[in-house]
Amino acid sequence: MFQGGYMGKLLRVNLSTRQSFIETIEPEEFRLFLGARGLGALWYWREIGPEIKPLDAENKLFFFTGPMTGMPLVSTTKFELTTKGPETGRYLCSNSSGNFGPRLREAGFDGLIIEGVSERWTAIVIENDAVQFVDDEGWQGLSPMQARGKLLSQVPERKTKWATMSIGPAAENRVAFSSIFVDDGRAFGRGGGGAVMASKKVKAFAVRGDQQVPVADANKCKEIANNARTDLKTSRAKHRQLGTAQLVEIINELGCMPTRNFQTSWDAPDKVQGVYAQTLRDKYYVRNYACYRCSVACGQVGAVKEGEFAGATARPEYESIGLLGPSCGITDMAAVIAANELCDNLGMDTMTAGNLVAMVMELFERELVTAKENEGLEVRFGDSRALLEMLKLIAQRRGLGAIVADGAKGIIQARPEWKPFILHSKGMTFAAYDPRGFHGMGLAYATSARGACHNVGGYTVSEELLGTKYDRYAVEGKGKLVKTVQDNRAYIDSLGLCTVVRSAYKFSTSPTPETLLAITGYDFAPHLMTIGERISNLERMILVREGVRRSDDDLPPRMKEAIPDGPTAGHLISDQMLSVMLDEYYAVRGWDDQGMPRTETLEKLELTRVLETA
Amino acid sequence: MIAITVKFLGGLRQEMGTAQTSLSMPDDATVGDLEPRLRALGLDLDSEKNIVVLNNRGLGQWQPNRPLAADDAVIVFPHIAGGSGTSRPVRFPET
Ligand code: SF4
Repeated sequence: MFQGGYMGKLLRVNLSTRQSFIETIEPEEFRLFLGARGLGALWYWREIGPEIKPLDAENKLFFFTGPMTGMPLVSTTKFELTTKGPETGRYLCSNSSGNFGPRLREAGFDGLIIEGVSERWTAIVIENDAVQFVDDEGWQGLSPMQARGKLLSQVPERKTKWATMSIGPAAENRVAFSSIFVDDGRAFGRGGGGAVMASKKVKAFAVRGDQQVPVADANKCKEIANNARTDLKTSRAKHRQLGTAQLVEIINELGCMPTRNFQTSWDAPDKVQGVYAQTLRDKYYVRNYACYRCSVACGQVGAVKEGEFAGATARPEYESIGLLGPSCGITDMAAVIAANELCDNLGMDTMTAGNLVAMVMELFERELVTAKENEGLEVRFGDSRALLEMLKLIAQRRGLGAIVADGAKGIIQARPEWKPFILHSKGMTFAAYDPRGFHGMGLAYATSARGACHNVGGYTVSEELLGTKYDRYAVEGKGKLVKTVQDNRAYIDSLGLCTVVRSAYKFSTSPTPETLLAITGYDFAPHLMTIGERISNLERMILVREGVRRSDDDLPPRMKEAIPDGPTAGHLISDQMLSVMLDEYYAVRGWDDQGMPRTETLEKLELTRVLETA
Repeated sequence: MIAITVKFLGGLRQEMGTAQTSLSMPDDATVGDLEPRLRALGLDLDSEKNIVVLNNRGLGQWQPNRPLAADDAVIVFPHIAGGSGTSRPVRFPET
């Protein structure tokens, strides 16, 4: 069926027995689920029951690549992590760039499954089908980059380089939003994959191999790569020039910038300009950063040369700037770079960390907590030093950090009275877009398979702002819009391609066939949106099995309060408005009024048999 | 005459050499009159390189015959990357 694009095998490593197994992935599984996110959901359905808790030995880490991962095209860098995540206590999917996915394929595998628990702290080295363990209690306490450096110093030098994954101290302390870092600059940021890896006592991975992924039509691939490079040169020029940080100014002007823990959604431009992309460029820019085989190089590495935060270096993206910056009342780019760097060194998700420090700041503002409970540290909006100190307290589980480290769900369990100040859905904290300004984002956060998220949940901002049939503050039409962007994203996340470049390959809602034909020899194009829909429904069935119903597709209390000022003043999403959007969304999805996929929907998507295999 | 403020955001500010400008329009000017005036400033609106927003809504969401008012605010910013995930040309960065 496939002449290329897949190795057809996965590697399963059992840490308890130190055995590894090579298993086959069937062509039918690729046909139905494409790769990466789709295969991750499939294996999760089969192997992770609802009774398993995120840090149980029975939880597993599934890493899957897609048919484009590592292929000789531009930006073929992505791979997917699937696990039960500590932040939500449920299904977690997360994707990352980096060299690890491509190198895993060169080792001969489309997927890697890590199960069991190691007796001692270890690192896993995979070279082709050989698996080795590097036991060392000295792994503990290292930052992700220190662990990477240490592991690379112990593996033999080879012509093709090793790729790595590693975790930091926050993961060792089981912070519910600790990340897994890939190589020297990318991460499975959200959801707490780091804590799952730490619970297995694995500090790092290294992988390389000598194989080549077969390609159906190598010449055509070359032609497509050249065309993509030419397209991206002009179409992504601004992205390269200033990166995603440009959104700070745009989203603030549109009145959707999380400001002081979403108490409002805008601040005066002369204040916010301290964290604009242009400020990053003018005062802190060092160089661009590129992922594997990417000619866009959208990452902007910034370094602080003088002042309080001199020496700090990071690559702040829009989400990190928004949530560590204005949401914490901070409009000093040097402080944001320092906070971002600290999160990276501790190994924590900048987005949830920013959200939860902002929550602590609001608790102080409302005098609901005191410095006495927080090792003497007051954490006020706009206080950069306090932001940094609070991040350390979280990673070390000290002071209020001992509660905050458990994430939104843990906090609500321990301190239910703080619930009104936590911006989350299903336990995952918000991305840096206030949905009161684009109501489709509210539905996206509420229905996202991994909790509030602008990627898995869907990014509706463009359509809501520009589409002639939409009104950003209306609820009508948002159900269909969100379904479409979610299904589109689900197949993109299964390709192994960076979403930023997808238009260069025409991976839209009506994709063209040439790229996947050249790679696999199979015409996926007419089926891609159905594959996306199938993945969305499988993920929903997983969530249903984990207890999710309509009442969980919810937004936090703050969304029901009107925005007090700025361009979107007066707007809110009431329970009734969300309910109208959910009704429409469930109807277009073919789900019942509790959000359960109907039998005929599962049948239509060829899922009935798949679901029987658990 | 009415004065309409036009702000340039992101990388466009550098390209235009200014953060904002003012368009002086006749009293009976409508939304439909905006586009040619913006083009005259040198903005590329054909290749969808740039996005025009009037009072927080995309220009295409307004009726072309809606009269302009003195407190109307226009912002223009570059089509950076990524996309909305639909078949329409994509015009927004994703993060
Ligand atoms: S566009 Fe940016 S995020 Fe995507 S692969 Fe290239 S450098 Fe990485």
